[in-house]
Parts: sequence; structure tokens; C-alpha cells
Amino acid sequence: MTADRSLPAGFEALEPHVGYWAAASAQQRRAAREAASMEEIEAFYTAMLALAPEAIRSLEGRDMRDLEGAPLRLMQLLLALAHVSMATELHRQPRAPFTPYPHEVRLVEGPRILG
Amino acid sequence: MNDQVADFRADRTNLTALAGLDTAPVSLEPYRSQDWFDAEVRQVFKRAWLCLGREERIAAPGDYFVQTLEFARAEVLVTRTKDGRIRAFHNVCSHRSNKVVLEREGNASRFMCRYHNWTYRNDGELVGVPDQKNFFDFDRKSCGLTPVACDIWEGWIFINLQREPEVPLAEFLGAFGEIYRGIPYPNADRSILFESRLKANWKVIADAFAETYHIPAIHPETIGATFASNENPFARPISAQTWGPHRSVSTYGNPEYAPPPGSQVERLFYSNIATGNVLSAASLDDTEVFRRHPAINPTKSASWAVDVTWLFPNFQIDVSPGGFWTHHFWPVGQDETRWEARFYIPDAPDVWSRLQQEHYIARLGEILLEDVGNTERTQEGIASGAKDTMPLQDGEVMIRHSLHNLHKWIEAGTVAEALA
Repeated sequence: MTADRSLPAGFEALEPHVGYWAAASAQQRRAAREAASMEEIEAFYTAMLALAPEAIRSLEGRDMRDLEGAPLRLMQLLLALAHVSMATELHRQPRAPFTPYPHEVRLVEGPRILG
Repeated sequence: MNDQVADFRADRTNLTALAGLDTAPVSLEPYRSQDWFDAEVRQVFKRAWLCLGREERIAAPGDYFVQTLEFARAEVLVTRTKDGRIRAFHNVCSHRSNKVVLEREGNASRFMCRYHNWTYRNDGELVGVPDQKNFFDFDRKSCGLTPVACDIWEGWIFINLQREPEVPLAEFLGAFGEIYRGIPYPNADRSILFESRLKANWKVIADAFAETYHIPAIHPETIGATFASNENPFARPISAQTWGPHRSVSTYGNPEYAPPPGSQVERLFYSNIATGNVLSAASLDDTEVFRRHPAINPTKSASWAVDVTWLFPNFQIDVSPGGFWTHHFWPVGQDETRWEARFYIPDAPDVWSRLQQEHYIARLGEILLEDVGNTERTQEGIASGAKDTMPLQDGEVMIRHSLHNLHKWIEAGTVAEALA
């Protein structure tokens, strides 16, 4: 696969976000969002949303079970966008109002595909 | 059956009276008394049939899982044997009472205790004892794993900790068990699990998922706009039903809900999927299967959101147009609970459905945290002793019905009497 590049061509603008946001499991993506500041969340949200339609198009027709390397990391960034949107689109703050943090409410079994 | 339909547009609803329950404030002692908790364990949890989940979890011969029951200081090993039967046993070796199975789930036809290598078949029979000749008058046949009463209803696994259950499962479920026959459970073999151990009485957690009155307050951004509307601003239920100790409410959904313009990710991820309910992770076909069943959305309301069905004592099945999920409220101690919320969702092998699913899971995490994040504060308030009772409104009828039946079981000398 694309071993020499972290993300597929055309998505270089997202490289700074791979290290933190391209996480393997749904619980890790959720935890990453909960631990991030609103500034960090907004920076990723803005960058990712701008390229999201193009990223989705580049992954159309692919079986999510077979993703690896650069396309997998791009998909993980798209999945992380779902989590950060909770902060930007619902709560307008990093976490839900009046909820405890840290907390032990954990997704202990994720979905079988990219979970 | 006790079928109660409310007009949520009326000045007030009358579900509580129709269920035959009184309307006085209820005591808080069941939520904070150690004596009450001990009585619950003895009279309720050790006498009632308890649901452990779907049989599809152990679909193949040899599949097994171990369920911890902290209130009984017990672990139950549930297996599927090669003849396809599901069996349950105490996870305790017949030799020196060590735990036999240390994994939480897996597939094995035999289990070996790690203490002295005693080996059991997954039907409980003891098949291997090292140096058996050095025991005295040893009868291997009588030294199998101790069985736990186990039965299946509509694919749901139930156990009963009475050695000889006083009533069979069918009698325990009663009319509920008849009316809820034939419901297909889509994706019953695949689920995601949220879990937490919470410093609150198990009923504080169960109650939090038993009424919709809290939704506009606790969930203003996550689901407030989907469960309430100008037509029903306080998210009153559509109907309530009771069958013996079991109960259900059918809850209201705003048929006008659409993602607000600012929810760009939600709108993008759901833009390519034809579904009637944007909170869901299921297909329209699944939705239609539920809608056709007479027990689901029993009034066939166009404004239906979720049916919350609470099986006595500690298990809830939720059915919505988007699929089904369950809650288990396992008492650990008087003020400690292990809560499990399992959502049954399909595999999502393409980019669009997988993104929709992640958005669904992300929002679930928020909703559940809003719900249970509130419970430890509630327990602290209850424990303070500031209040002796709590007033319950009509939409909280399931909480009242739960307490009413717990009282009955605690006072009843026999299960038949408790069910009468």
C-alpha cells in the first residue's frame, strides 16, 4: 500500500492531525475527543470538514474491512470527525454540560469493523 | 394485560391510575437502606428469573460466556453444547471450589480447572480427575459442575438462582411472554457494549432509563428535539402497559425532527442514507418489521420513538424504529451498580454506513453519559437523608410500578404469592 505517505495524495493538509486523531478504535476516538481542548477540537473539525466530502468520495466502493495504510488513516480521521462534531455541533463545548470527567462510562466492545 | 393509553395533549395524563397504582409520594428507603438491599437480594434477585442476554451471543456449539453476579457473589458459566442446548452452571470446581473458567467468553468443549487439572465437558460432566484412584469412594458422575436453572424465551437466555425454581420461566413472564412473541431482533448476533460501575443503587440507574420526563432537561442538545416538540413539550409517553411485575411505556418522538443547519457533520454523514430516523443505525426494512408487530408501538402512533420494556427486576429491552438495545442493572452493593448497555447494530462495510454508525455511537456515548453521569449525584442526595420520599409524576409510572412490585416480592413468602 502507500507506505511512503501517511495519507492519500490530496489530503496533505490533514497531516498535522493524523498523530492525535487517527485512532484505531471507537473508544479511542471518543477518549481523544474528551481529552482535547475546544481549540484543538475546532482546529481539527474545520480542517477535516472542509475535505470530508472529497475524503468520502475517495473511499466509496472500498470494503472497510480491507482498508490499510493511508486510506485507513483517512477513514479514521473521518470517523473522528463524528466525535468532534458532538462538541462543535451539539454542546458547543468539549464535553456534554454537567457530565463528570474523567468518568468510567466506556465503550468496552466496539463494532466489528473499524471498532 | 393492563393497557393504558394516554392523550399527551390533555391537561394531564392518567397512566398511574389506569395501572391501578396509588399516587402518593414513594419512600426513598429502598434506595439507601442496607436492610432493604439485603431483602432485595434474598427475595427478588435470588428468586426471580434473570435475563442474561441473547442466545446468538453463543451461537455455535462450544461457545460460552461467564456472567458475574456480584449480588450473589457468584459467576455463572453459560455454554452451548454440541446438541445445540444452552446450559448454565456455577463456575466452581467440584474439588476445592476454585473458579474453573478464567476467560470471560470463548469456545471450548471442555474446561480444565487450573488448580488440580480437573476437567469438565461443557455439559457440566466431570470427565477427568488426575490420580482419581487416590480419592475415597469417589463417584465421578456426581461431581459435575453445579447446574443453574436456565431457560430460553424468544432467544433471550434466563437463569434462576433457586436450585429448583418455584415457578417456570413461562409463568414468571406471564401475559408479557405471550404478547411479545414473534418479534424479530435484527443483528442479534452483533452488538456494541457500553459499561460502567456506578456509585448508586441499581434502581437509581434503572429509573434513569424508565421515563422520558428528564429528556428535555438532561439531553437538550443530544436528543431533546427528537423526543419532545411544541406538540408534546415535556416528552410525555404515548401509552403504558403492565403485565404482572413487568411493564412498558411507548414514548413520543418528534416526527418533524431534522438535523439543524449547524449540524454539518450529521447532515453530511446521513445525506446518502434513506432512513426514517436519523438517530438510528438500522435500515428501513428493520423498521418495518418492528412497526408491523402488534406489541411494538401498540397504539401505532405516527409519533413513536422507543418502547421501553422493563422486565422485572433489572432488565430493559428498548425497541425503536432503528433497532433494539438492552440495559442490565446489576446490583453490586447497596450503593454500587454495574450497568451494561448493549446496542445491536449491523456490520457497516462501506464508507457511508460506517460513518453514520460512528456518528450514532458518538451520540450514544453522549446520551448515556448524560443519563448515568447524573445518577451518582442523585444517590448522594438520597443518602443525605434530606428527603424521606419522592413525588413521582404520571410519566414516571414505571418507577412506581417497579417499587410496588419489589415491595410485593419482598413481603411474599412464595414466588406464586409475589406474582398473584
